[in-house]
Amino acid sequence: MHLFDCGISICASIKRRRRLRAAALSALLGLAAGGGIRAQGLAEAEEALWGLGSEVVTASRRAQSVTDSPSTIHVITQEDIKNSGATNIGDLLRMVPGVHVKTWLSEFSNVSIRGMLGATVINERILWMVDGVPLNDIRDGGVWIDATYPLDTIKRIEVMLGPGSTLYGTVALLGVIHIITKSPEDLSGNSEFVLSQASFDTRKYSATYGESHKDFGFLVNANTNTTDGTGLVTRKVAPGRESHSAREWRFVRTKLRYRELVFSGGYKDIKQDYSGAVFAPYYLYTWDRGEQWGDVTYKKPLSEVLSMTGVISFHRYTEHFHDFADVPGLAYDIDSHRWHADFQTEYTGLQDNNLISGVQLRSETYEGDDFYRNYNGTNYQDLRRDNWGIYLQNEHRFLDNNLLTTLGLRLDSHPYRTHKAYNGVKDVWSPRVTLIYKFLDKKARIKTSYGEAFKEPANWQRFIDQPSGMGTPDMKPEKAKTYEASLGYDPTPDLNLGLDLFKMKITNIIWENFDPAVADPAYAAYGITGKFHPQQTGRNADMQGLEFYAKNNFTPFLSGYFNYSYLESRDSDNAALDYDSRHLFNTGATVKYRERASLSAGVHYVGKTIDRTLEATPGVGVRKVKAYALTEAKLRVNFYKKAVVALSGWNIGGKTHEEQLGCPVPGPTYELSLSCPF
Amino acid sequence: MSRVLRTLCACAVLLGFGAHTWAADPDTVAVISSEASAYLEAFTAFQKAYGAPVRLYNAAKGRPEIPKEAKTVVAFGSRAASQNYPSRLNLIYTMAPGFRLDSKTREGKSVHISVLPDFGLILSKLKALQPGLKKLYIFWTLREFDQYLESGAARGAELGIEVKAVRARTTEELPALLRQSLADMDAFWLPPDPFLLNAETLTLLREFSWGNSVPFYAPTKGITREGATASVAVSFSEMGISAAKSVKAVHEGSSPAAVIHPDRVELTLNRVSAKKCRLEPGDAALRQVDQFFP
Repeated sequence: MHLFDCGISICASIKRRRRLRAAALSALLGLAAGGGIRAQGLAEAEEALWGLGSEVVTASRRAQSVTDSPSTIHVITQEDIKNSGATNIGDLLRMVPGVHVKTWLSEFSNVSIRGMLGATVINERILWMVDGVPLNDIRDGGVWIDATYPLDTIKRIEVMLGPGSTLYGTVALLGVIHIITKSPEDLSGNSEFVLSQASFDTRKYSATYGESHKDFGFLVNANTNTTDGTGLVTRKVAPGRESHSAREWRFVRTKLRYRELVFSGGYKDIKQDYSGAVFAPYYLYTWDRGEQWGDVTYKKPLSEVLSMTGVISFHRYTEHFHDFADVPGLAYDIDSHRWHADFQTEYTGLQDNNLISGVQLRSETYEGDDFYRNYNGTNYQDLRRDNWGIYLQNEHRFLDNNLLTTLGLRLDSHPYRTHKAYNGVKDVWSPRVTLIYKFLDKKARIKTSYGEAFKEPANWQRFIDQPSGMGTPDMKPEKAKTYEASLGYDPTPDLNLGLDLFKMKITNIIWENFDPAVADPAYAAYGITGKFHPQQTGRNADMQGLEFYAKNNFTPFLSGYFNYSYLESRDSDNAALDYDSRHLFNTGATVKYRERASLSAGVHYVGKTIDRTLEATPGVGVRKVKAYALTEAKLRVNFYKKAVVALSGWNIGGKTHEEQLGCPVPGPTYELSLSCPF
Repeated sequence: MSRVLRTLCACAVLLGFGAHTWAADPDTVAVISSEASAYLEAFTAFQKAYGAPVRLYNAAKGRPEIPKEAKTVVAFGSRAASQNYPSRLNLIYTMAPGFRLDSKTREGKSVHISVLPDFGLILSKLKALQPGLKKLYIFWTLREFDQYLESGAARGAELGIEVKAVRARTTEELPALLRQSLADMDAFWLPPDPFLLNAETLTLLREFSWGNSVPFYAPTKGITREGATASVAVSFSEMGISAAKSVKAVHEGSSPAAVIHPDRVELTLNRVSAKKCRLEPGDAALRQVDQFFP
């Protein structure tokens, strides 16, 4: 007899059901007026019952199943986050096929999708979004990925591989990473404290409370954190000083809902002290970052067949450098903000058809001190950039929903050009077409697609506020043309298999270069010559590769995943691109013991790569970066009611090793956390 | 100039779609619990069967403001059904298996389109699939199913099936109840009980079924797709169509039954699951299957 003699696991959602059921029973006993609580819990359970499957919102800017998505998309679920040993979002993303992650300056992550990893500084070829609102920084165009983004506020992360400009415009060149945060409904009437102590004396304290009623809901998350840091660039510590990277950060996020209107706002404050490490040509400096935002989202059906979504958001980013370039008292301030408005309609009046259309408006303002005399002959930058985009996408289903077509087109325009150095971004058209055919009773599917995407120069690339820095001579947008073919097969409900093949050509790559007259002597003193981002000297790059993935729930107590990515990336000189590993694989498994405990383990392998930073340095040349593997594990124990204690480890048993510029990937790190929902 | 023309063309397309509205039937209003595809599928079928466009509200986005001239509300899902509608309105509701309306307090007529067909129909289809079926266990939690399940015993007796209904007070009892019943059961079936069936219990039920070669019969096609052995279910579209028929009947002055069990069902079979449960339906039974998985 094969029966669950050890007892059958009552999983998290059963606990939720227990709560829902308690609500139901309360209502039955007349404790809840009008049956409102019961109805609410019932409605949630009922929707889950109808077996709607996992839905994603990023690929088509509307909810749809992963199998119907016109783009290749992977989802990191809340369960994945709970079970992962990763303590920051960069490491968490390593589990996704096609996503390449490199540790940069020991504490930041470079994240890239399907190559160009060495070309990224702060992940500026990916559109990062939180709840549908762009997060990318105004100065650098990307996002600083480090430990300061709290994982416990995340509901799921949708990672879209490939071009996203048809719906999102600039920056969605290599893909879109969309963080969906928890809503008031996810915590209704519950709160949660999370305390953790980790390596490098890292301490995190987080509290979240959410409440939801029929017309009104709110959620507040606040956290405060400190760390001594791993230390940056440890190989190049200034004589007589210690390298450290102490950091304090605070984060407050709120969400308020009144009927269809949702307001999300908050602030983030990070104080970073990197003094002591040598990051050529000067010691690193104390650097504060701040972020404040307010987003308003409104969704409403206008008629039986037409609905609209409107988003207006304001994001402000501030940066303050102390003792810049080792000059005591020299401060360097940046204050930038972005207004973003997005109006979209969805028309469903035609049978088996979804038509979305939208308009996006964006205005970015950048003000900052500039120690390097700029094009205006001053030491102060005051720039503005405006952009509008208009898009249309039609999805149609044929043959009893076995054949799905997607056609989309977007126009982006930049009507105001306020800086003479900014001379290139003209109108950009971004088309896409996708064909999906399902067979074997919809259990298998093939998909072919073509899409174009672009990335306009970041504000920093427009004026280069670094000594010796100069931008690409022309500032035309980078463009990517991508062909994809995929095969997906789900032979059983618990087993998902997929193979994606892609070929991508990127043209007109924007790079940052040194002014040799200014830079070389200074940098040479630290053993660095050549280019700032040497792999970008080719104006074009060709990428091709594949991703294979498998996920399986073997039993209710055991689940696992495996994925492998192969990549060939070369620039127009036929040289391999820095840090683009040909081989990546990730695997992991989770074992549960009832609802009381779970143990997860995983391995992330990164094949060998090259680093040409010191290519021109005599006696150094092209550096070979060895292959390495990061191991992770996490043990979670539910020791009292809903209180969970978790012990996680990252790079367990691994050595500290270098990927770039003498900035080591930290050795083993551990975190002990306690979460107490009530 | 060409850019301006292109932009104007694009705007015209957008405005063209934005301006498109239908003249809605003033008598009937539809309310969906959310924009989940199941509700939209049922509503679309309703709209088509009803023959005239109706005003649609989404209860997840706020309280529906029912026009004064409306006579009937069609609600899809319990959130939609449980809104505080004026008593004078007729209320037709479906896809709300855990919700029961107190019709005595209402002036208007109320009709519940059940998500379940007549129990006898389910049992006869299951008997065809599994001729050796003699003892069918049923697990459920919600009291709303009591009456329906009581009818099952009588219908089962006519077909030579002993129906044993075992109520779980909480979901935590389910594993123990399954264990206790294993030696005695030929198969088990669950009604669409929102508090008992979810992604995690589904994995558990499937593992139990596959591991012990006991067929697991489900209340929806989607659950068969996810690994239950078979289902005899009313499709979401059929619920919408039945709702449309009821609205028409009410508007014509007749009084439909308080609870309607649609009689058009879909029999689905999961071949992998059937094999694991050593269920080998005959050709005649297989011909009755409307859809196979995988």
